[in-house]
Amino acid sequence: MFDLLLRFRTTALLGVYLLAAAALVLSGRRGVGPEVGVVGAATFQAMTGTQAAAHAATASVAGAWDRYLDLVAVGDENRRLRAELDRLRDEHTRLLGVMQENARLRAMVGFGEAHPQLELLPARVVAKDVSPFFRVLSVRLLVRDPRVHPGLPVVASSGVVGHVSAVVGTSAEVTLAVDPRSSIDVVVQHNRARGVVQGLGHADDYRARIAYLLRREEVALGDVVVTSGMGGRFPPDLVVGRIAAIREASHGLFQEVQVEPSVDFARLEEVFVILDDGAP
Amino acid sequence: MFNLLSIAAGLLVLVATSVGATVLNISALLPATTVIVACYAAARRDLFGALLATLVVGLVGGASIGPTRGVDLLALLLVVFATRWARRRLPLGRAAVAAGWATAASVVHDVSYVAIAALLLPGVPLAGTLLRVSPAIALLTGLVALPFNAALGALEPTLHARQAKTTLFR
Repeated sequence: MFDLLLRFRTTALLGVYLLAAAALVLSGRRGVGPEVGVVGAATFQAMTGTQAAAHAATASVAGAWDRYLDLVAVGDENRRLRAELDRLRDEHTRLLGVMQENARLRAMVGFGEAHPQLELLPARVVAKDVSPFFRVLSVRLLVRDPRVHPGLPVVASSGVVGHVSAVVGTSAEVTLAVDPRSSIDVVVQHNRARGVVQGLGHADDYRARIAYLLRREEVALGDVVVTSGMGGRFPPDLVVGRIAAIREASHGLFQEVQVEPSVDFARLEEVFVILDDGAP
Repeated sequence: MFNLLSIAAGLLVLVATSVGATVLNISALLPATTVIVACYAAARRDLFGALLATLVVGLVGGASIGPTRGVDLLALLLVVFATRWARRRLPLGRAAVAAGWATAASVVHDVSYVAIAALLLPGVPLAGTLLRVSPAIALLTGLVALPFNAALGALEPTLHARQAKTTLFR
């Protein structure tokens, strides 16, 4: 029997082949199920099982490939987003600088509009002296002006900065109002009590003191101190700072008062040199 | 042994084609892998081996499990017989020639498929199904058949030796 089957195996297989094909073709006419017959149902079962296995293999390989591609895409996207983040950070920093500069320039324009009687020459701060004993700035004048000379007052939008102490071309050295060598005649705004602002030369702050303020003058913390206009160097009513400390002395003619400058010298970037001192 | 190799290689190509189609998101233009396997088996095996490989791969190699698969099997049967006829006239042991023959066999298969479908299946117009005959698919089938035949040819040195011996004593 086995020999017979082996002998006619090709014919038998051809029969099976044709039977399977016929069963499949007929399944379309009579529907898939018991009506197909034993051969058709067996063929159908074998076919669907094999196809399911092939599909599973395909799905797993394709899924692994898709995951790999996803990972590659994630890596690329990650690099792209990092580059974008760096670029946006740089741009943010630049825009922040532009916004701050814009605010400063607006304040300077406002200062100029508030003091139309003053002729102002703008300058940019290029260096600061780190020594606490000599509070000076180096500034570069935006235009060269022969009228700039030592002694001219220097202000910022927030108040008095100091005075020009040296000029070379468009470069100038400014001695700050908080320098121990500086003296500015001031008054306390609310009661016009007079004094002279002098730098303290502290290493850790920019405070100054008001010398020659009489003990009988009533001043309080937070009082605004402005230039008096006396002496003809600084125009009157430019803000110098606010009273930050008052020390009650038991004796003597004067009281000891410290002033916190209105100008933030650590962040100062643009200043004005007052060409016309505005003296009345 | 070699029949199993044909079947395994055919199934491998089926899976590889399916994976490639999934990965590349291609559904329309796919090589006729069943034709490649049928040609290969018919060219290098006896009729039994050719029928076995074609039947197994032909049953598995398609999404359809309906009557069109039966029609496909019949068309593949024609490809097998055509290849059996061609192998006496062409050096199908060479991969390039086998690939060229696979291209032609793909066209034969498609035309047969259309004709059988129009003949056996109700409501299948011959003109409409003529669209299935695609030269692009035939060319793609030939392209895929080239490495397929080359790889399997390299795997079967003993078969080559046996064929050479048969030729010598003929």
